[in-house]
Amino acid sequence: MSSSPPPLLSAEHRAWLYWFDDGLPTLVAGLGFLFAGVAFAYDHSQNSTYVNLAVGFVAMLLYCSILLFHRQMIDWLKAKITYPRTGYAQPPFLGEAVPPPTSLTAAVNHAEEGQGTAEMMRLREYRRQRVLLLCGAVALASFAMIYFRNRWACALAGVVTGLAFWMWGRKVYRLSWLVVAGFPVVGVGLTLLFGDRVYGFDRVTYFLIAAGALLVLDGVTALVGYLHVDPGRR
Amino acid sequence: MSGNLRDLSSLDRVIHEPARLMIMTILFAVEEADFVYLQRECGLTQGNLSSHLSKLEDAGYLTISKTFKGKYPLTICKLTKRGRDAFEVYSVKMRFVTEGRSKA
Repeated sequence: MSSSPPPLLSAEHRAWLYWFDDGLPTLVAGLGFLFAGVAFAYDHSQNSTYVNLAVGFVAMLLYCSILLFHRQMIDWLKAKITYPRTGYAQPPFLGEAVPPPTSLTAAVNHAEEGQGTAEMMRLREYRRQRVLLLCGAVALASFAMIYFRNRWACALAGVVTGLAFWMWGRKVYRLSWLVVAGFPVVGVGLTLLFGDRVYGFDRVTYFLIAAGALLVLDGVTALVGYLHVDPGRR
Repeated sequence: MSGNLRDLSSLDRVIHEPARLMIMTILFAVEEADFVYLQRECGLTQGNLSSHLSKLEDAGYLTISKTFKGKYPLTICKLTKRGRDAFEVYSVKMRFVTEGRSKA
């Protein structure tokens, strides 16, 4: 018996991966982290000059824009880069309800749904659980960096975050090893660079900036790879 | 057993054709997709895909709208409610044919 997934599930999974294929969602997410980190850094800056305030304000504004309109931004970028090359598909996203069995299905008088639909529901639930796991791990890492003054807290946070990204992405997302391996490197790097001189929210700020840079790097790498594979325009 | 065999004749012939089944499966899994994406996923020629899409549109299973994303034209295909229902019924019937009725 074949162990390959039902075609319906495979079609949904391919559409889901297609959304991330060009690296633009990762790039936008990375910019969000980067702007958040810069905004916090200038907010906590010791010398509050007008320039610092202005940079902090602009970074916060950009972060809020990404937070509120990330989907529109990604779609706009994809309309310029991705859709003309490889086509447009709108996959069902996290949090969207699976359509209930229809009256016509009920009319066929079967007690169960199609296998593909049930599998799709399971896959969406799996993705949701993984996102929650990732958020929990990142919250834990942030807590450790803020409240434990030990110099190795950053390294631990990096390892936990890298592990959480790996657990999140290994089945549902084409995750790059750059991100998985990058977070522990960032954590150890911050530990070696700052030791226990920097602690509290400042650690999280630097970690955010490094994480943002990492995701931007991953997004750009994926985008370059995508443009290399699909250079043509229709 | 004969009941199951008779069910074969009631399968939706519009969906049952392999290329159209492929198109319906892809469109069922996404909210909407354009011509280029469908062509890429199905591996059909432009003319072939266009002809199957027209048949599905004529059956009322999908809508085809020509629009723009930025300055690029997109031919967006989306399953109608009727199309989704028909696909669900088709998949349930196919399971019924191969596995029989489950005990409720």
